[in-house]
Amino acid sequence: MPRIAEGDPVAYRALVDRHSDRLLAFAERLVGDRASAEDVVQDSYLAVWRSAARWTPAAKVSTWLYRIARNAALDQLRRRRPTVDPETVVLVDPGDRPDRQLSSRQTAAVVRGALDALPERQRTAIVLVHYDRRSGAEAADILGVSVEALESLLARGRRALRAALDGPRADLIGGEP
Amino acid sequence: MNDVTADRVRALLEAYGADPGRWPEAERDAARRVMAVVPALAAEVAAAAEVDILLDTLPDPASSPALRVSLKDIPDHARSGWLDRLAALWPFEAPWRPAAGLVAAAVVGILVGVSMPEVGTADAAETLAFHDPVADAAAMASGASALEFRP
Repeated sequence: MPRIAEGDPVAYRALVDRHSDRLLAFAERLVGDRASAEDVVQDSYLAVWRSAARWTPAAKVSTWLYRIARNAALDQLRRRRPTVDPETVVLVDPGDRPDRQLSSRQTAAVVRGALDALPERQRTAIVLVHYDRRSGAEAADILGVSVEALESLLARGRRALRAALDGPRADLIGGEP
Repeated sequence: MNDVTADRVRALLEAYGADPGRWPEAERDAARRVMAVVPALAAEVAAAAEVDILLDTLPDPASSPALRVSLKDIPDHARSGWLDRLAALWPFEAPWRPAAGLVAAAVVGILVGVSMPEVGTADAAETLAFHDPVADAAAMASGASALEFRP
């Protein structure tokens, strides 16, 4: 990072090689679509290039990068849904769907919708720990919360997902909802 | 860590899911031992696994070689301010070095200029004192001419 702060493009490009794919996946799961996720990653790396001098060795580079990407994703979501407070979103229960036999593609779409409907911090916690396989400590650091608070976000998010996905869960797993 | 209780295992399952690979490393082995001796946890494990399976139905986002190229182009297109613009003109090393040299030279120049004796000021005053009457006279002469030729 100090070399990037001095304007070294080689060091910057090594950072792109190392993190851009995972950062794109992280962003896509947060914002829900490819084009917005690419914008998030573009904005994040632009911010890194311009603000590398603000990085301090107290934070891991990847943690700092993910924090920047999360903030960029939040900006995207605010621009897209200016009237929705992500902390007050109420999950829609898809259990009343008439077509209960869902294909895996449909199930994925319903899961995507349920994930999108979660409050942002719960969604980010699940994306970091489940999909990105970050440790609890690192995910907590990215979110700026304690590990205990992270575990609370994860548990509430997973409970909400389980409730929202009652129908698809039965179709996919084979039990009665 | 040996003080992992059945309640703590439930909390781990609710937060991190059924895959012990996602649990905090410090508690993982102890939690597995607790699971092996508490059969009642099986229902919580199954419930957590169901949520994991649903989450895993989302496909992994594909990478984007085009985006990566675009990201790597950022240093060529996005200048980060005056220092970066200077870097474009000075590709040999960190641009703050020549910039610092220019600033230091300017400071030395100002200090030398300020500390010089004010020799030129007295001469200039004398010059003004010498030339002013001539200028006045010329003005008066031209004024007189003007008066002479006024119809």
